[in-house]
Amino acid sequence: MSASRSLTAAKEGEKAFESGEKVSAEFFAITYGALVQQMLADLPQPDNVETVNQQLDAMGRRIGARLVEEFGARSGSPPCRTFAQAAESAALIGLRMFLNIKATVEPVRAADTFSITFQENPLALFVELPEGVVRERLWYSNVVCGVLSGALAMVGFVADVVFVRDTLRGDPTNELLLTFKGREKETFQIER
Amino acid sequence: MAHHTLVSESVVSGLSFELVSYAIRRQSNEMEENSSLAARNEIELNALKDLEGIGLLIGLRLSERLLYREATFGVSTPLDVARFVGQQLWKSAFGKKIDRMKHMDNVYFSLIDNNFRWLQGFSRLKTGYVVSTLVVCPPGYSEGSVASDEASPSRRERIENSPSHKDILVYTVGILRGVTQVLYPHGSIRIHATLNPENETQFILDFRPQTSS
Repeated sequence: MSASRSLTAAKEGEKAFESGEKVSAEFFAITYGALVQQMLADLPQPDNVETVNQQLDAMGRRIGARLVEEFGARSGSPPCRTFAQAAESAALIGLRMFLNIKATVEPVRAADTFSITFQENPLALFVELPEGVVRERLWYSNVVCGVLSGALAMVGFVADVVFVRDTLRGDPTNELLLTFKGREKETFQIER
Repeated sequence: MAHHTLVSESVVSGLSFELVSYAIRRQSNEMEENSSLAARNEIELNALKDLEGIGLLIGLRLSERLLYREATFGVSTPLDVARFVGQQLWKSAFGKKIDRMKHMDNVYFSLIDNNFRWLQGFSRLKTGYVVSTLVVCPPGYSEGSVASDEASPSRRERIENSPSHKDILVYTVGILRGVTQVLYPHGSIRIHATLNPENETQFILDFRPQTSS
């Protein structure tokens, strides 16, 4: 993955973001915060925080599946033939275009796993997690993982996306790991 | 919008749809095919209360952020409030200003959005039908027996937990109530929303003093 290609992708992300309709990140963060708060309040057992992580991921998958059409139409990104290209487009163009997240992406193992790192997280405006089980187990912005995996699935890539570092937990940066799991199988075949 | 961070409007639409779906689902999980009309009515009312309640909370928090930067918003007449909603709030939440604003005697305002962003992708209403947040109607009545009101979601929508036009409007009215509660603390404002077949959504801010009966 050449440095110049990454620079080009970052520029494409910036251009795609600037050309779209935009709203207040504060409104976005407040809406998201209210939903996470409601999900935590709805837990039958307060320490079952993993359930909220799963709900946020599932919600993100649905959102990502809906955003991929706009990504294809507006991003200017060429079709991705390899997972490395898809990972780079999702991280550098997609996250910027939709969430205004300026990320960097590095391979962790050749062509298999990528680390996506970003400092500023628009979802985490005004957020402080309470000490205890929520801070230890909640990946507050887990919807981002779902958005990425949901969008990638729509273009045929099966990926696991997980948070491994989060500034809300006291980590110095935010980091996602994106792991390629295979190609999406066709749901039906036309036999001739 | 200088000085403020922005995100894509598409993401916020997607998130808002998911929030409305979540609020409906947590009530509708109790809905069964064979629920009685009374049971469905109660579940429906609870879902709408939840939606408006979450919207209210979001509106309260959002108005605090908006006013933090609008230090000059000191005097709040009904016209000031309506303009603030149509300009600042719409820009923050929907990426544009309200399309039109009508008023009667500066106490009754209609804010008209020609193509409300959160209802794009929903089906168009049939001629003669109106959706209004003022009509509270159980889902069983929506199938043919209330000819002029398409307000209630169909039973299929509820069983599948899909948001209806009305759910989106109720949630948005909740946001407006939260915002205006901070902007206009001295009086109560009655707020409702309607959607017509021309795809116009009207948000009514009614500042008229209520006559006690």
